[in-house]
Amino acid sequence: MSERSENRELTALESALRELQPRAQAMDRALLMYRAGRASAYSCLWPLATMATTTLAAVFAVFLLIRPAPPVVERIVYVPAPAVEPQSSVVEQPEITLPTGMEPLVMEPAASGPRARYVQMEESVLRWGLKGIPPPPPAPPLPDTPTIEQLLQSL
Amino acid sequence: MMGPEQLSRLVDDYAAALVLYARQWCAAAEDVVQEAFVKLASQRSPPENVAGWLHCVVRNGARATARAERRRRRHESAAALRIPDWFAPSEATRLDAATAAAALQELPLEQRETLVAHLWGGLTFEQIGELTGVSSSTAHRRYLAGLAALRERLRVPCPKDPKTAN
Repeated sequence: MSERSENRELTALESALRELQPRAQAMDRALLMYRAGRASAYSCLWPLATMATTTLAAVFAVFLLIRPAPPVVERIVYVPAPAVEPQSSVVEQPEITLPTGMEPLVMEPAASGPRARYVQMEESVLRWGLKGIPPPPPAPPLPDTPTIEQLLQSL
Repeated sequence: MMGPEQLSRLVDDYAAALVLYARQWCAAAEDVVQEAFVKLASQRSPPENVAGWLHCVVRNGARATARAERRRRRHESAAALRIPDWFAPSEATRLDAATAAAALQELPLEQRETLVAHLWGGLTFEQIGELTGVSSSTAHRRYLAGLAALRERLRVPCPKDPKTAN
């Protein structure tokens, strides 16, 4: 009897508790549906594509690291020799006589030719002034000038 | 894949009960339940037993959240002493919502969990046993023990026997 009474009490309590409605007012239903929609639309395509390309890049990197050195191929290459240019005639350069007390200008050996001579003369002029200009080469001997009598006789 | 209508119906049916269930462990129960529904929506094929699956996900999520909350609120004892706001107040019910929530809160966790899952979640004792890792008879025993403890705390009067009442 007591057990039956206890069971009745528990059943009554059970039904009274069931009448209580759980509160869930802070639940944002719109946000929930939005997030659920996003989650359901999630595709595994991009993660798979990323994984595939990453794996491919890793395989290429490994191949790059372990690939053998390229074989050395020896062969004879014939190169045509350049034509020899005829040597130009050597022009004698006048000797420069410096004034007394002046040191000769030491110049780096330059390529021979008129430009080298010009540069050498320019250096001398800049350093010593007009005194640095070398005396001109001796003029060639003039032919004998005919006298007036000789000219008149030739007429 | 689950459609929006089906998901909306499930939210209507289970959201409030699941929030109450999650509140047995943590304060941020709504967030836990929302995560559970989002996880449900992302399932390729819906689980066979949706209610049991949702309760399982909510349970795991609520326990993880509770651990984080404990770390955060280690020195905040006032929050733990507050009377929970678990039920919607109503004049039509025989029990006062706040009193019932306070009495429920004083129960041990395993009894509370079993009561909430069965009364408001609608799970069978077998499902509760699977959920909590015990047998269905243990779950039933916990339920009865919890009800008895609640009866003591709420002092529910014994209803009159219809045979003796007349």
